[in-house]
Amino acid sequence: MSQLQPDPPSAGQKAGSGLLTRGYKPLAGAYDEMMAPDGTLRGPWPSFLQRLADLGEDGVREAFAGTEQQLKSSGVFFRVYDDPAGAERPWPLTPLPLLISQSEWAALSAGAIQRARLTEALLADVYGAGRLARDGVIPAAAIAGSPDFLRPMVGVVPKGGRFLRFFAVDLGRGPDGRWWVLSDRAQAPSGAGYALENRLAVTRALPEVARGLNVERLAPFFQAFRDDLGALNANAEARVGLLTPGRLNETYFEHAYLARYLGFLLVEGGDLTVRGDAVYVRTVSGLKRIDALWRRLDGDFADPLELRTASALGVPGLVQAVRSANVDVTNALGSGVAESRALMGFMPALCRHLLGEELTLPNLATWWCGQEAERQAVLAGFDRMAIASAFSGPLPGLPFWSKLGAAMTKAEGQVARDLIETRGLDVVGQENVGLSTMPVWDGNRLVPKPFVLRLFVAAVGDRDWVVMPGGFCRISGSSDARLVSMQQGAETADVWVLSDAPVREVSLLPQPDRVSIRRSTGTLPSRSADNLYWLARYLERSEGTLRLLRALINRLVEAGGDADQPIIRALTDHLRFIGAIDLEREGTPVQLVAAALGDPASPSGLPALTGAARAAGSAIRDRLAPDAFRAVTEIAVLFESMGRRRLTPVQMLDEVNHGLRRIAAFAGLASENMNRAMGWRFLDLGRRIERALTTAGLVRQFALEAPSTEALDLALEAGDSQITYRWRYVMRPAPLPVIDLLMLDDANPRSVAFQTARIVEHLEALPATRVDGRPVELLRLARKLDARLANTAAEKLETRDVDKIINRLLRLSGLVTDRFFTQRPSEVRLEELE
Amino acid sequence: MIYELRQQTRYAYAAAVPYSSHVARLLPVDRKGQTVRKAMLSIAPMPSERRETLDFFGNRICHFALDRPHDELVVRLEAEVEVRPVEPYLAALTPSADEVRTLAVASRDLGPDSPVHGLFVSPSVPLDAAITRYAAQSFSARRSMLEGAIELMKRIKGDFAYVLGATDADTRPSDAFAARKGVCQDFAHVMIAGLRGIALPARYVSGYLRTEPPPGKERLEGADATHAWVEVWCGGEAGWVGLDPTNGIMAGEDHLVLAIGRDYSDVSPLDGVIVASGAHSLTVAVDVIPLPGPSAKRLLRVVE
Repeated sequence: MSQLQPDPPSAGQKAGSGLLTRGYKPLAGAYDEMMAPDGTLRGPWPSFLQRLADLGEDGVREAFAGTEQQLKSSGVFFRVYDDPAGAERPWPLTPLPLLISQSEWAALSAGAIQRARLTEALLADVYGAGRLARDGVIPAAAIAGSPDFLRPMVGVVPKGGRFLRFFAVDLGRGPDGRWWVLSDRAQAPSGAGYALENRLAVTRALPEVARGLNVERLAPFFQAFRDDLGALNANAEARVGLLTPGRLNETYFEHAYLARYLGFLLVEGGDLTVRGDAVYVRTVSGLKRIDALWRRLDGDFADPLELRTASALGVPGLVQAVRSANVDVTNALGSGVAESRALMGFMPALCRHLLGEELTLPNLATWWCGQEAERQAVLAGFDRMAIASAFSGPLPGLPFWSKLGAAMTKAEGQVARDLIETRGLDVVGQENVGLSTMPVWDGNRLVPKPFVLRLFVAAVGDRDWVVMPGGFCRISGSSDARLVSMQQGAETADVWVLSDAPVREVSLLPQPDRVSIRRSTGTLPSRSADNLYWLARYLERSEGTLRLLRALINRLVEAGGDADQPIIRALTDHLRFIGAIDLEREGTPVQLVAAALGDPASPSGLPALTGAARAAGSAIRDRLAPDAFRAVTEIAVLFESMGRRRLTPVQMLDEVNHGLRRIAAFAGLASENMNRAMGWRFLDLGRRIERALTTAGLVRQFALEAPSTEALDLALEAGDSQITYRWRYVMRPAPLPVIDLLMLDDANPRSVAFQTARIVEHLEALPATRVDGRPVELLRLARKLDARLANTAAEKLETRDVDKIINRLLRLSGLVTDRFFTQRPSEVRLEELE
Repeated sequence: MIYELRQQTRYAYAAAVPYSSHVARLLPVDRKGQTVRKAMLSIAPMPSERRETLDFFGNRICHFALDRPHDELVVRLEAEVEVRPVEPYLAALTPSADEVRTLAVASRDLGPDSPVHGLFVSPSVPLDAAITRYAAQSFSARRSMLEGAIELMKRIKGDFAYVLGATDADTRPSDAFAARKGVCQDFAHVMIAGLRGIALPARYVSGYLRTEPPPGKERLEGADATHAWVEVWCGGEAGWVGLDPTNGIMAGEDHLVLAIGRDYSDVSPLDGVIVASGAHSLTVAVDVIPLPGPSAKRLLRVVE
């Protein structure tokens, strides 16, 4: 008897008795995970549902609402490709997990490992001896036709000896209760990080339920994978790199999340450079060797010199570094060839040939139309089959990449049949198997919906494999397995593997006996430092602009319509000068404020500034606490929609205050929760430089040029120093005390002198600000500026001195860029020879 | 016939380039009917790294990198290559196109000369329904593969205008086909797209073509720059046969092979990625110096 039989229904558990199962009815003709056709509950479900029922109806509703809240607060997103705004969607998670009993799991995980071993052996042959083709086990054309068969990799043996280290398999369960492999994922499978987030959200929302059921933990799987990759990088200076296509990729969130969770360095192609056939990461401390990369971009994009020449995402020379065995890339470049559907029909024979075993997890019956008999079979059974690309990508000349014959329009069917006749080698026909269903909460009750289950397998050591006990479950609105894609807004579910015995608590926190104390600041890629610095600058500039706008609105409200006061004109002029209001824009002061708050076309208006802050933050999600990133997102969202609302001045004031509070919240999160490592220094450096510039600008405009009482008041208000001033002077503002307080007083945290003192501290602590023990120009300039402010008296300070200070601050920022960030210059491809 | 070949490629950069890395596919190798007597690639300034290897298709490629600021790069090829006439193959003796297709799809060979690599779309040659229909007209059920391919080649030669500058290195075959004009690269890509459209194996050849016509023959097009043509696979016995759709002739003693691949993207002579902010310009020149000796002739003149 096969091990893959479904769990028998448990006797005596009638569905009608449950709070949740009332009215639940499996779909006709489909296997339901929870309920047998006669209404009895299967395997682990009765005890799970009982525990849920113990919470009471309100308790259940509350817990289910809690899962959604959990995900929102952890900031899980994915990006929708076809959304013109490049919007990110919240992660859709259904609160009920998919339950898998231990006995069923044993068979599934053994089957997944067998497929990983098989795929590894297949790749080793395809990129090695090529015996499988020569012996006629697989047709050479089924390999050669794959766009993921990377010819430059033929003959290259991976440094670590393994072609495959992270593998996934998509499964569906047919009406007869048997699991089928829908596809193998050997390129760069996604979903493991989302599975981890789903687990956290569901177990936090249903803690009692999870505790009582012996749910297998996910952490040991990730620990094993991390240790395995870490061993490959043992001698390099940098950590293992997670190579991402960047923040526009649909699963970038997951890349950042996994990098943070596993302690890997999140890198983009531009962060890496190949010198002397070895790979280095550009950091604020110079180039650091890296020996192991976990790539999350497709293999053919990895090297614009030897692979896809138009790729802007890759690392020039990476193939040569791999060839020289100086870096291990997981999975090996070219591993995607194993995803070809054309190979699926050959898997049973391959398994016997390569492993001497029968395939325990069968895949969907697949007919590659490159062969005559198979082509005839597909043409004969056209309506019953799914017609799909023979390889992993879309099919040239076909308007779809996978579609059931019967579901095609007449024209589509004709195109498909013609293609099968003329170029059958590009096409497969696949058996159409209905998917099993699982209970999904629709807000009021449980309804059965079809799903696809993705299992993850990681390599450990030289020969072993480990399966993540759980998985990534995607629920479909449609019952066609091939249509389940996150791009189309499907839901996801956690997957619980239920052990018969209590489960050991493990988390990825280091074990006491194996941890080595490290206080080194780690490796900070130049790109991350650049984004942290600009994130802080944009937010600080937003804050300064909001303070000016608040001051302006306050005065407009006080003036009650008399907009012609000099101070109001001075304020709008200053707002134009700093770019918050477009120079060309005409209008009443209230209209001008509205433009600064809501018009995306204003060069330094709030939508532009906060949008830029969010973009910088998105690029370094691995370095920001989720709460901090959420704060940045909320600020940007607030001003994104402002332009579409018609607000009264008082409402504007509310929104300005709202924005200021959010920015303060970010600053608090950053200063309280961020480790005082290099990343924090760049964040704070950006804030200090921007604040010094803002404050010096205020002093110049309102305390030196035309120092009326109103103007001085304004300088104090916008410089957030009113309280200090009143407390110290108990008099109405006078020019010299205001200039002293805002420019020179190093006890005032808003003063320029206070900022320059912090700037010097940061620069002293950062690497590469000295050469042979001597400070570089950047550090010398900062010290000089700081000393100048410390040794100047307020009465000596004139407009041109403040201008000089502003220019030096700008020069300082340029030198920071040169010193730390431009180790990542843009790489361009030479024009080709004709 | 012995050819002496000198090609110089020069990049001039507006701003100094601190670092660059390159792949050159400029060195000929021994092939059927072709013996390389000498081939040398000199690079100035001196590269900090340099390594030669053979790529998947057996082309000789040179990787090099420059790690000092430089405002120009000069790559010079000097080679001496002997090309022997290949015995002409009797086109009528090759298997039918249907047989060739079946043989190729069922091939057990995954090596560089296997027909399977010529069967599928490749980066610069997407398939195109119009080109496929055009090509299909030359292949009736019983006609031999090479007869059909020669007819297709001659139709392309007849239907297309050779126009320098009408296309560039990135022009897609469908655009060149619609315009019925282009340069040798476009002619070759169109012919490859047509053959692959009906699942017949075809591949791309880059190389040189002798310029000065033998007495009494007309001057051949495409000899003013590096040339490109097509090889079609005509069954196990004949193997790959070179056809030059730009000139409507079979590749022979006048054709010197530099590199072979699925399309232009596999064989582009010099690729590079530079770290730079400024613009760059490119000049390519080929000097040809006649070899002393009875068979020496002024054979090549290539200037771009």
